[in-house]
Amino acid sequence: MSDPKVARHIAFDHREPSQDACYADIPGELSMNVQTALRARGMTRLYSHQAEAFQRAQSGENLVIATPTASGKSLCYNLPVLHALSVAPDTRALYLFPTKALSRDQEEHLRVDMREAGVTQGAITYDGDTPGDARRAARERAGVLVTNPDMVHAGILPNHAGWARFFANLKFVVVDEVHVYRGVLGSHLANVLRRLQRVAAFHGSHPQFLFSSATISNPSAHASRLLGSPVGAVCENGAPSAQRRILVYNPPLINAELGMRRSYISCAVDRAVDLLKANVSTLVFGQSRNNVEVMLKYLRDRLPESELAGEQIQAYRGGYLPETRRRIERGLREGEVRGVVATNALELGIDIGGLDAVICAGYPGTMAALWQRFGRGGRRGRGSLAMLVPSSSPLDQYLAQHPSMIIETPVEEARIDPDNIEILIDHLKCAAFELQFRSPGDTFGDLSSTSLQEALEFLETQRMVRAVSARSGGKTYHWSTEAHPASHVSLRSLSYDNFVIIDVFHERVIGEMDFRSSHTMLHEQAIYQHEGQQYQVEQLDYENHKAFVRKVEPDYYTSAQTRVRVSVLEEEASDILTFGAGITLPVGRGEVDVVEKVIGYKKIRFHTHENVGYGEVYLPAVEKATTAFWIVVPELVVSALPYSRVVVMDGLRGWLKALRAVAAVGLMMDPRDLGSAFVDEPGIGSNGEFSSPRSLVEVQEGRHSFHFEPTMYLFDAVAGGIGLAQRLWEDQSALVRRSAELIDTCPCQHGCPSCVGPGGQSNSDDSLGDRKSAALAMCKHLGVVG
Amino acid sequence: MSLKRKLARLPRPSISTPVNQQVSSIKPQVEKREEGSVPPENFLLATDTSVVASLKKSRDGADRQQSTLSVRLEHYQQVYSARQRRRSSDLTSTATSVPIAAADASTPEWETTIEQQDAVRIMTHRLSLDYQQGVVPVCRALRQDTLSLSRLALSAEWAEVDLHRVVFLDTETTGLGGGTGIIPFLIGLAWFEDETLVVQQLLLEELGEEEDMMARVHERVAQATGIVSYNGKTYDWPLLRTRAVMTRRPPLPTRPHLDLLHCARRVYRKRLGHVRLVDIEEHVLQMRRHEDISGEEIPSVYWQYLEDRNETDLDKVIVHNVHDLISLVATLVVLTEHYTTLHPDDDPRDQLCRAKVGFRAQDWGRAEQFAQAVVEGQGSPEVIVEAAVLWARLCGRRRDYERAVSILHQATDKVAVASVFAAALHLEIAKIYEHRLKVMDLAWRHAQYTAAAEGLPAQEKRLSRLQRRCKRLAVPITSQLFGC
Repeated sequence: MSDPKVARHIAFDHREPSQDACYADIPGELSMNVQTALRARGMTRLYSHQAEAFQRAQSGENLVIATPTASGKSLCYNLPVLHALSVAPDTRALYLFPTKALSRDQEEHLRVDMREAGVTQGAITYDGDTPGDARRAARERAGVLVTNPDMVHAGILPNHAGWARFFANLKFVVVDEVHVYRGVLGSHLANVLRRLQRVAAFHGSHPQFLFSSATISNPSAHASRLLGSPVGAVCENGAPSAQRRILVYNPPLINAELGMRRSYISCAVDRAVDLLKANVSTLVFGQSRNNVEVMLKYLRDRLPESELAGEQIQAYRGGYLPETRRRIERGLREGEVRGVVATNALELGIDIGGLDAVICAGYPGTMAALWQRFGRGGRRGRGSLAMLVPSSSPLDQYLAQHPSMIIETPVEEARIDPDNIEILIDHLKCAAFELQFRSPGDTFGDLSSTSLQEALEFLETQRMVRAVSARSGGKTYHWSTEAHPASHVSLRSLSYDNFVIIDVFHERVIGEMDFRSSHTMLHEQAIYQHEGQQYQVEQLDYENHKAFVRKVEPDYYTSAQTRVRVSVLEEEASDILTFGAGITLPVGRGEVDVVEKVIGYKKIRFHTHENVGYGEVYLPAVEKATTAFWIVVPELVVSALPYSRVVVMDGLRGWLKALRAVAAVGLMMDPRDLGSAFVDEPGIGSNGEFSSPRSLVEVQEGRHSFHFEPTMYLFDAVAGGIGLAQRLWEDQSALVRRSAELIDTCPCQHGCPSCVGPGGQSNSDDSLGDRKSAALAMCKHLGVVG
Repeated sequence: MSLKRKLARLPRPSISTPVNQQVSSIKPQVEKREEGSVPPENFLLATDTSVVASLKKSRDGADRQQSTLSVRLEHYQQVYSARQRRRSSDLTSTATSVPIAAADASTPEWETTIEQQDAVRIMTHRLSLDYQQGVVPVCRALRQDTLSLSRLALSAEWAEVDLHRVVFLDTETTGLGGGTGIIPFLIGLAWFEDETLVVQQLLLEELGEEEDMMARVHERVAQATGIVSYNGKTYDWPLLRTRAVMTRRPPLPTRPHLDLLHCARRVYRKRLGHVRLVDIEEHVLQMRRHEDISGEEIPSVYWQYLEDRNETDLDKVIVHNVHDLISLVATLVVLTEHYTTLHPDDDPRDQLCRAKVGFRAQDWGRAEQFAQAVVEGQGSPEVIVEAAVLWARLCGRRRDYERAVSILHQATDKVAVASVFAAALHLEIAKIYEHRLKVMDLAWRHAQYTAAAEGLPAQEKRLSRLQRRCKRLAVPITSQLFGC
């Protein structure tokens, strides 16, 4: 890093000081067995947050423990459970981890803890890989059942009668890494917990919930929303931490005028090569599976066999088969693997030992995720290096320009909407299958009784449930089809509708991909990258969810182009925004219909990233109803600007890009959860920019069929929405102001990927104006900026 | 937006097709039989068209209330008795080895009583003493040897079970697979009272009212000494246990459970491949159901019944369930009888399977008896070879190696000495000569022909080992077995 060529581009260099520990005595009421076990392990006292967690758990409070990675969180929830198992041997506890890998890992640790505390009830991992005998043991004997929400959802709850004894004695439910359950997954989990509490109550128990979370800004609110009842937070960290050096390396500008920077992927690889050559074990996080595979290939190409054998550098991402992942994890722990390129699959607490350095190629979209990734370095109390290499997206460059935000901005809130209509209905079906609903009387978590009644009546009209007049008055609703609803509902759109990827040459399955990604990554002719190898998709059997691929060695990869159409279904709220100039800007919020279709792909050459070809794709469109926030730009404003209409429209497209970037960082939203679309002509579709420079947008708008004005849409990427539009609505004026500031303060001249997008290029010859000038003129005209 | 409006916008679920469509697709299939010809099998329902017509007519009638089922069953009996009379004459002309009751004179019948108790309809059918399912008189179930049965079941506890107090169980459910949302809406139980088979069905008239039904099941199982089912260990019984939990009742009493699916699979696997109850009926009981409803249609019939209380299709389910139970009893009879005593005309594949069951149950005498029957019978070479090897091993168990070798030789002659089938026999002989009788040169000679059974590499290893041992013992190994 001392190399001046490198040092010049370090935008931020911060040393996070080490922190001393804050201790507390082992609580006296903790069972003697557990106390002895702790002392035998050399622990004569606890960190303050561990003691606090135990004390508060003893009072029966539902808790969320939100302290940083490696602060001894698991002991916080293990102590109350071990104590209970020790004093009341019939006690049962349920541990939920977000992934199978993590549950296997934690089961080992838990077993050691239990053995040392003289607790003999045992801990069993219960998931799809658990053999039949162990399943029976799990049902009948295990004190602690370690599993994941998916298994509870599809395996345990629908068969809860077989778990009667378990549920009757269920005292604790531990949910680890609760920050992962955001968005759709979180909304699903909240409903699984509603069902779990309902079933437990049927068997006569009301378990206490213990959550743990990485640092998020609203742990208590998030956990309470998940559980549907109040959850207290333990946030005061008493654990010590080692020094960590945080760097931001901004890829050098190649063309300052166009705001073009060197590829952040190449730069991240450069820095990783430096570190690996200096024998520093390094973990590189990429943004997508595709990026990860590209970087793996670059790294292997760059490091000669003599210095580092190919097997010492591995990729790690979802879509690999479990045994491959186990092998890589083991390699990391044992130090055989020196470098690994990973997606967020490695963000979670899988034990991979300590790595000396972490490089994030691209901002992961949220501060919480960035810190989680940084936290994977230096786990054994040694100092560590954490580096962010921002991409040229507006969001990343916004951070690069204001790098101190990394240590100053609070981490994001986790947001869920358990009452998302599609998710709710799916889980109500599952709940009705598990146990009939009595109405009035029965509840479903914190869902209002009116909503529950309406939903049940809806299911009745669908003939999913049958209403029976109960002898005691009221009605009961019984599941009344032969279907097993849980097997049709996937918590992470990651099971039954997955596409299977088949290598036609070896005739074997090499991976799986979820439904949505498959459209952009597995269309015919796509280059599918897997473990550093390139495969071309020869045939996509859309109906049977199979992609047939063959290994190839192309000099390019492919990038899909998507077309999006938006139409308003219902306006739920509308308002007028006014800034300095006194001009009104109508804004709205409501339900929209979004149709996305992959229409083609670009071929992009490795290393140079030049566009070397184009192909068409014929795949069915994916349609969803979701919620959106929109801003209408009155035609009067458009015509008031000293530019042609075409240029103004392009400027608005650029402004939308800035709006989206600001929404992500300023209002703390994950950009992946947020879609955007621009419509500039009534009725017919038009092409424009959508979400990333590669995508095309076709927007159709029915609302203003007589009187049309250009509209910018920001919508929830998730069907049904998880409340993002509402959140944007609440902060509408801050959103508009900050986006204008972003454009105003960006150093580029005609627009660059970091503000309004590179649209300036195409218009650079146009003496009438460019995208950035138009966008800025618009903001100034409205009086948003001076 | 209100939840209601959001609900209105949800895509319509495609999870179940409209029920009435499914139901209307059930088409009666009347099988025609040419007059005068001998039917290949006996049919459960004769195609006595007048009877069928009257049956149809009555079913089209307006009154669909309580009486419908009794009417339906009454007609069913008429048809059935017509079939009975006819069949007994058919049978005299077919040389079947299955024993047939001389029930020609008496007219079979059953009495049905229907009782309505709150949400449970209790239908009790008492079968006549000489009732036959296909070619099997069901009352013979009482006379079966429980020791043989315990061996077929590979479960010693069945040796002591009193068959007079066994309960047969079969349920019709609202879906396949398990889970708390799947309900056995029709629970069929059957048992003997004296010599009479009583079939009792409990029909759930409304969801959520299972307590009485479960109480009755509990009571019946508590009185029984054992449970007999077809696939019930995996399916029906766990489902009933689930219902006990869901109705907050005490757990059902545990009783020895005989799952005839497993027994039937062990015995008929080679011959039939599939051993669903309908396969057993067709090929073992020698009957074919008429107008039977298929399993996948059953749940939707029940949902439809709850909607419109139309009994027409429900009756089919009820009759289907009665037959499942009767066939269950008949299957028990055939399985046990043909295992207890050797029937020389039985298919050699079944005999071989019975020999294997005997072997697994350590019922050595029977195993040997069945194996012998196959080796000496007219089965295919594969079957003969497998039986001979088994028989030889049984001889080996009592150290009668000479006999074992002679059995194997006998079989070798039967399947052609040098054929590929004989390889397994030569291998077995080679092993006995080498390891038991210690005649290395004979072992070596037979080892010349084992390639097809054990593969070339293994054969080469065997040959070279035998060669070494011959050398050590100074036994000359010059001549080959068949002088070539």
